[in-house]
Amino acid sequence: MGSTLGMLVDRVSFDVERGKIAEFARATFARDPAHTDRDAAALRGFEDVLATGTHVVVAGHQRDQQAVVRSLGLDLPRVVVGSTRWEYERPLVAGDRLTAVRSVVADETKEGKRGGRLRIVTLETDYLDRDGRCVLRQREVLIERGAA
Amino acid sequence: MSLPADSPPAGAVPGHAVPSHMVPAQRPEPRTVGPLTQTDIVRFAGAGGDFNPLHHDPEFAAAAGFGRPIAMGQLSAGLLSGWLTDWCGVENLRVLEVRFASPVAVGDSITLSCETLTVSEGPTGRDVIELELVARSGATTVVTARATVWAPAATHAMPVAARADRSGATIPERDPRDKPADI
Repeated sequence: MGSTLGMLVDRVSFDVERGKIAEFARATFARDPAHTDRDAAALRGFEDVLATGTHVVVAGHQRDQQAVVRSLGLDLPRVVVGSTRWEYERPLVAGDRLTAVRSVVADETKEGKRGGRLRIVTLETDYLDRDGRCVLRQREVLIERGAA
Repeated sequence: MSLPADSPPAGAVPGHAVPSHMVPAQRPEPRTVGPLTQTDIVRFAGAGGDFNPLHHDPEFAAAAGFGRPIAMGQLSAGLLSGWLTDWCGVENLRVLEVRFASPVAVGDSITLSCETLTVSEGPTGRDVIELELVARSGATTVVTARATVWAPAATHAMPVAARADRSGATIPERDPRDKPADI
């Protein structure tokens, strides 16, 4: 299939909620009280509890990952996530509302080290706050083994 | 916009001279999490929204070539991130990049450790630390990561109790209802 470079993959919006921050912090064994205690966050200069570093993973609730894989022309059983990178402009605070805009920034095919062709698709997501400022940028590299 | 920020985030305490004995270590102490139970994986599924049956259905996992359900890569990434920011404060995290090397299965214990690559003075005089992190299950590397953080201020205002328990290598608090998975 042709390159998907530049394609808008999906766009979802969600609230950064106190309860979900606590739930995600517990699920990742994060213990900093700034994730659960407003006073602890206030001592550090923030108005409400802080989300953990990988909190935006919760956008999985809003996304249809299988539909995304299909729309990229990838075969799900042969796809693995190679890496994920987050760059932070500021921490996420309970009460934030984010809009996540995900697009294809690279789509390449190359020979794998162990033989066979690999298709490597890089997705970039800008997480925009209420003011439209990008507060967090995420890059995901999807690898499809045995690409035609 | 330009990322990452060239100055500490709002709320961060700008760097200032502190007695050297008060300067915190330039990296977190190792932490071990686990053995991971099926409950831990299901809890992460509920938190993050990844309901791929590979992570909770033993028959599905077996058909995919795994002896046991495997954890999401993002669970391991979250363990690394949480451990790192328990030390430096999430407001000091500038970049985190994780690479997934091997699957993690129910029953695995994950050990998190890191090396400091560089410490350099940032534009505001506050140190910027580059770290190389690794999550291992036994001798197997499951995730590697690179992180860039603002040095945690000596005045990093975490309550004393939270600081004190950070010396422990394992995470004691678990829901008593958690039991090892019957797999």
